[in-house]
This record gives sequence, C-alpha cells and structure tokens, in this order.
Amino acid sequence: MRELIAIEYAKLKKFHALKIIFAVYMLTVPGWMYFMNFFFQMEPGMKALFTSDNPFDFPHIWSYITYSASFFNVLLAVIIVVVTTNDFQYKTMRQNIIDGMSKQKVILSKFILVFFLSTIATLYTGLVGLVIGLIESTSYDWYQNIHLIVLYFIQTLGYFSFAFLFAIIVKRPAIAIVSFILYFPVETIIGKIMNADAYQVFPLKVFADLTPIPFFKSIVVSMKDQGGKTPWILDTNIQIILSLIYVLLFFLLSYYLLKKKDL
Amino acid sequence: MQQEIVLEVKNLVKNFKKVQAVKSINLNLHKGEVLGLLGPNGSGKTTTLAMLLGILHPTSGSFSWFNNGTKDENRKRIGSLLETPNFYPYLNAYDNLKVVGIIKNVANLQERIDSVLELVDLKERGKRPFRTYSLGMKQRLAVASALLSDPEVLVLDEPTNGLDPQGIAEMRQLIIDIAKEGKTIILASHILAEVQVICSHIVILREGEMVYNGSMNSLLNQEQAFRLSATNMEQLEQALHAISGISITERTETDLLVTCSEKIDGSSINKRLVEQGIYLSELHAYQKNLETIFLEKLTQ
Repeated sequence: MRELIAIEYAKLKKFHALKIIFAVYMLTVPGWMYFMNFFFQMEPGMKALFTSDNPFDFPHIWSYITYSASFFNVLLAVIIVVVTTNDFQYKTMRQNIIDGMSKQKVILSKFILVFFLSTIATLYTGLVGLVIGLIESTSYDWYQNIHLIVLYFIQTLGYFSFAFLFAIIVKRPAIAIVSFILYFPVETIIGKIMNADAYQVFPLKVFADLTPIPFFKSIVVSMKDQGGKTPWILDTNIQIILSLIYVLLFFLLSYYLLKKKDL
Repeated sequence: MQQEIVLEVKNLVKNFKKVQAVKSINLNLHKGEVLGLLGPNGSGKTTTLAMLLGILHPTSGSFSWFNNGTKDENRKRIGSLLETPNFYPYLNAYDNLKVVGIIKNVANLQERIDSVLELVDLKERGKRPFRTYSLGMKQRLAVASALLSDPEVLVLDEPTNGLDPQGIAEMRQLIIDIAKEGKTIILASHILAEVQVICSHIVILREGEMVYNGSMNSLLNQEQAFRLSATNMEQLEQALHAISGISITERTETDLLVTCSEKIDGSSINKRLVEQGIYLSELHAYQKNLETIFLEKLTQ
C-alpha cells in the first residue's frame, strides 16, 4: 500500500498539467459560488424562483456548494483520464508490469489515486463552503446538514472511477476525455427515452442525485400541490449503496479488462 | 554437475489474429549462461520475450522463472530492456529510475540510481527531463534501468539500438563485464559479431520457429570448412565434384570455400586431389563466423 502511494507520488509530483487543472478547479469552486451570489443580488427575481431562503446561509450553503461544485468534478475526472491514458501512451504501464508490478497493483494504485483526489475535492469544497458560510451567513450552525459533504465524497468517487474505466477502455487521452464528457448527455437522452423508473438507477444519474438541485425536495412538494407530474428521486440510502456498488463494479471491470489485455 | 535452472520454456506458442508469431519454443536457461536470441525482424524474438516478461498472454505452452512459475514477483529479479525505452517524458532520469526502484524494492535506492547513471554516463545530463534526450541517451537510461536492481537475470532486446559506434563499443564491453560477473543474460541482437563474443548459447528463430538451440561452440563447429586453391581452378573444381561429402559453398577468383562432412579432414582432401593429379597451392582450415552460419540457417 505504502509502496503504491510512493509509486504514484513519484510519477505525478512533477506532472505540471495536473497542477494547472488543479489550480483551475480551486479557483472555479469558490468563484462560481460568488458569481451566483452576485447574480442573485443583481436579480432577486431569479433567486426567488429557487428559494425564499438565503442560499449562502448555513445550512443552505451545504446543498448549494455541493450542487454547484459537482459540475467542476469533471475537471478532476479529466486528471484521472489523463494520468491513466498517459500510462498507456508512454507505454509506462507496460514497463511497470515488466519491472514486476502485478496488474492488480496497477489497478489498486489508481484506486488509491481516485480515493485521494476524492478526499482532496471533498475537503476543499467543504472548506470553501465553511469559509463562504462564515463570511456570508447570518447564522453560525455550520454543522447542520454537513452530512451532504459525505454524499459529495461518494459522488466524486463515482465520477472518478467511471472516468478511470473510460481511460482503461479507450486508452487514448483525447478520445477518452471527449467520450467521457459526451456520455453525460447520452445517458440523459437514453434515460428520457426509457421509462423514468429505470433511469433512476443509471450510474451518472445516481451519482448526480447525491447532490440534487438545492431545494429539489421542496420543488417536488410544491409541484405535488399543484397536481402536476412530479419528478422523483431515490431514497438517499439506496443512492449511497447503489453508488458504492457502481464504484466497485467499475474497478472490477477495469481489472478484468486489463487482465485480458495484451499490452 | 548441472547448474541451477533459471528459465524453463515449454512449447510456447503465440498466435495473433492472422499470424502465428511464435511456434513452439522450448528452451532451458541455466545460471550463468549467456543466451543469444537471433533472428531477422519479425521472427518472434520480441514476442517471445514479451510473453516471458508478463505483458503478452501465451496462446499455449508454459514457462517458469526460477522454478517459481509465472508469478509477478519473479520479474522483480529480472532487469529488462524490451524494444523501445519507456519512461515518463516529463520526469528526469533520476525520477524515472525512482519509479522503477520502488517497484523492484531496491535497497539504498538513491545510491543505486547514482551508480547506474554514472555507469551509463548520464549523471549530469540525466537531470533534464526524459523527453529532451537523444535516442542514444534514452537507450542508455533503459540499460541503467535494467541494471538498477543488480538483478540475477538480464533480458536485453537490442541494447545497442540507436547508439553511436563509441556507444556500441562501450555497451559491448559493459555486457561482457556483466557476463563475467556470472549473471545470466538473454541477449537479442542483430550485431552478430557482438553475440559471438558474448554468448555461450544460441537460439535462432525463423518465422517464429526455432531452427537452432544449443551451445555456441557446437554451432560454430558443426561443419568443417577449408579454403583451397590450385593453379588450375577449373580442374580443381571438377575434381572436388567427384569427391562425396564435400560441397563448394563459395567461389572467388583465387580460391574455393568448401564445406565437408565430419569424416573428411584436410589431409584426406589433399590425398584425394593428389590421386587425381591436382596439387594444391593452398589449403587452410576456415572457421566460419556466426554471421555466415546464421545466414545459412535462415536460407536452409
């Protein structure tokens, strides 16, 4: 385990593209929150559509930040794709195996990377939420709804492991990134065509619904009141279980594919 | 006494979609042997080595390193250079070797890295990222990487690829020195003069088939050859045709190169020709070099 962390660290510490993507991510997460804040101040009417509460107040900030930051996870998922496909492009994965690494360890070392990135993303998003909350909020009960951060962590694990599977299948960086991003609308379209119940268990839908649009549940309630067709969402516990099953499935599938492959 | 076995290969076969790349390879490699793996491009050398190094799945057959099967950790005891050098382009030589060293559990890694980079003369220039290297530097880093763990076995696929004449000479000396230490080596190379100097055993592949597997000495001494000349070369040639067990392999203006079966030696050739009234002006035993034998094996 320590050996695998040391290997990944030695490979990546001087990979500058990674630092650039990371810097962009770190600027976008708070940047987008402040943009929304600014936007809502300029257009109180828009804000009223969402909620009567102040989204930057505790505890609402947690559902806001996890929802808005979840879009930028794509940036970090790109890191996973780039790092993995590079190992194919440079033939370094092949060399690692020649040098004595097993294919299990290759997969496990990338799982460690996924876990690490998820942890960083979650801690950073949590920190940004806390700081913005402390600055903007009128209340100080920051611990309320903080469990949303845990859901956010599971979501990032899901996205990143899905990105990893794409990288293992496609092997070429550009094509892997494009097809990974294109899969998002493709899944939505397939989901819309199929019946709504089946769509609920599609992988990206399950991950995305871990951090739904803020006040989603109140929207559902109000739509019910109006007697319209209500969108629905799986129970959170089922979402968590399904997400973790998907993560496991993606890594097992990656291992199976790599095991079969001639490098 | 038979030396400890390092590698055992049984009926190893690899089929790609349409090509049978390797057709039934069998060989045993013992400790301290230096095996030369010869064959033209596309004869299956690299495919064979790739199977032995765990990156290609054999279609059938088996192999075993150190009497320990195909386990992944076996490869930590082998230093390998297969085809092109594969490294992270954005890392320098030191950082690239660090990755290899951690995988191979090398003790005193920093010292080992310094010493192998010194050996291949990359101590200074190795501080720049790998992507800036010339082909020769890349190749030398790959050799350094193979030597990093001071492995029991070295697998070197075209180690002099991309090197300049001075680099080739240095690399040859390096391999000879390593062989003298008693390390087991598999060397695939097109430079046959080099192989002849270094190797104790030879495997020749042709279109995936093993056409020779044995010691270098018995390969070189399989046949006797002589260079003959006489005043009347045409007469000499006719007379030679009449003797069974002798065939003419090469003609030049001044002499003939003949190959003989084992029963015929220099004095019996001389005697038979004198009986026919031909007196040789020259007769000397000729040792064919590896290159000649290799080319013959490929056309047989």
